[in-house]
Amino acid sequence: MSPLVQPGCSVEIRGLRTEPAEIERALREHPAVARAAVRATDGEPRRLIAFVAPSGDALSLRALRGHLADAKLVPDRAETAGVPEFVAMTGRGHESEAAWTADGLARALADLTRRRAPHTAPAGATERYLAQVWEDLLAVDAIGLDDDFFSLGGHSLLAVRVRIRLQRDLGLEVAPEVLFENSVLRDQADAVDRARSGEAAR
Amino acid sequence: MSQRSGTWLLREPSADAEARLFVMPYSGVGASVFRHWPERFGPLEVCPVQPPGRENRLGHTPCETFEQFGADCARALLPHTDRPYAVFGHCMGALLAHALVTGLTAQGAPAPRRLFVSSSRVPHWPPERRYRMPAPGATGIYHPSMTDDQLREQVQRVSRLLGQGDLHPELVPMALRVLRADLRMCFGYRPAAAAPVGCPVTAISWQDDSDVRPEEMTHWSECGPLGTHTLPGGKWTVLDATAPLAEVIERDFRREEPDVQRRMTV
Repeated sequence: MSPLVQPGCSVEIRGLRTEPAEIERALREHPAVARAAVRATDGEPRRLIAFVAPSGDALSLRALRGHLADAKLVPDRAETAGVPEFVAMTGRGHESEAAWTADGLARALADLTRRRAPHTAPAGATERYLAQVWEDLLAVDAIGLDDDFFSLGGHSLLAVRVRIRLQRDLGLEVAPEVLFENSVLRDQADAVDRARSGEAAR
Repeated sequence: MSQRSGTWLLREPSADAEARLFVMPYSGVGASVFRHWPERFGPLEVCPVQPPGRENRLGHTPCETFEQFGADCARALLPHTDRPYAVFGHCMGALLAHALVTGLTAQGAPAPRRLFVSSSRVPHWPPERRYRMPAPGATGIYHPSMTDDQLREQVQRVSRLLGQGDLHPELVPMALRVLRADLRMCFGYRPAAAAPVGCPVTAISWQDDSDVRPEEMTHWSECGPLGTHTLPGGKWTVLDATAPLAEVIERDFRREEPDVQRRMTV
């Protein structure tokens, strides 16, 4: 478990100076956020982590990033520079005070980390598209090519929603079974590409 | 297929966990059914087990017998028994948990600190005694003599009870396929005798469970020294990991053996 520190007034994250306290304040003001804390990892490279508890059912990380960009706290349309990583505090017990102590937050970050595979960034168009769909449904950002939909908290109803998004966005029919069997992002992108090029999607 | 896909544990266990709780799914569902459970109960890190043929292991050949499940699952989990651990199973999951523990000890693993079983009759009763046809109004009770429509109705009732509305129509055929395979496995299971697990057993009953009654669960004493609890709620309250359930799991796991255990047995 890597320790977290309360960042100073200004820190450099992925090549860009950011104001963690300002980011935390802006996140707290967002109507979809019940509680927020921004911390930095100790050691290099320094990572900025935004822990957010949703006020309702849905939490769109995309909307939160847009909100930070509107407030000029992160660069508009930035890929990663200066943008915090998000940890959605949605699990059981996350409303307790203990969950928001330095130890509790470090634990939440570790719990999310062990659900992920070693990170390889999505590169292809389908991979990046699916990573965004997964992020919308799972409230997990920076999804990597080797991440598994079910390990990140997905379940069968959410898999059906991936299918509905594919229908809506790409006009593509993919059976739920194909999404289950290809639950790793890299495999799912291949399956979608095969379906698009008219091959059997299996 | 990527290397990561299709492992027995839904997520990687932490290297720094004090203790582990392996959690079994039940008939017709996969490991994600425990998504509302916390990450840990006290020292126990929750490790949901994903049997082949479900969710992200849909493409893997399902186990056909409990003996096969116990041996295969034990082989996969053996490296993770390097610290204190316990196993939890509800309904069919209780039989899977029991099979895993016997499989692990047969392969030389240290015995778990405790086996937790919830709403399940014992494995060594023959299927005719272990299972019933659902009573009128029952939810999530299955029997091989039921038609697909009847099975679907039971699955829908569980889904509605859990506040998820009706099961999405596209998921019904898949759910029924998994359920039929599980029913074949359960009704073909006829162990010759009670298999002791080499550790104490906690049997959990639910006050409003019309299927399995607390007195039936006392027979788990034939598998190990028994502690019993009857908790508020019905058969599916288990999925919410209510405070009384969390307390039973943490307290019984920490319980010193064997003196205190004997006092607790009713």
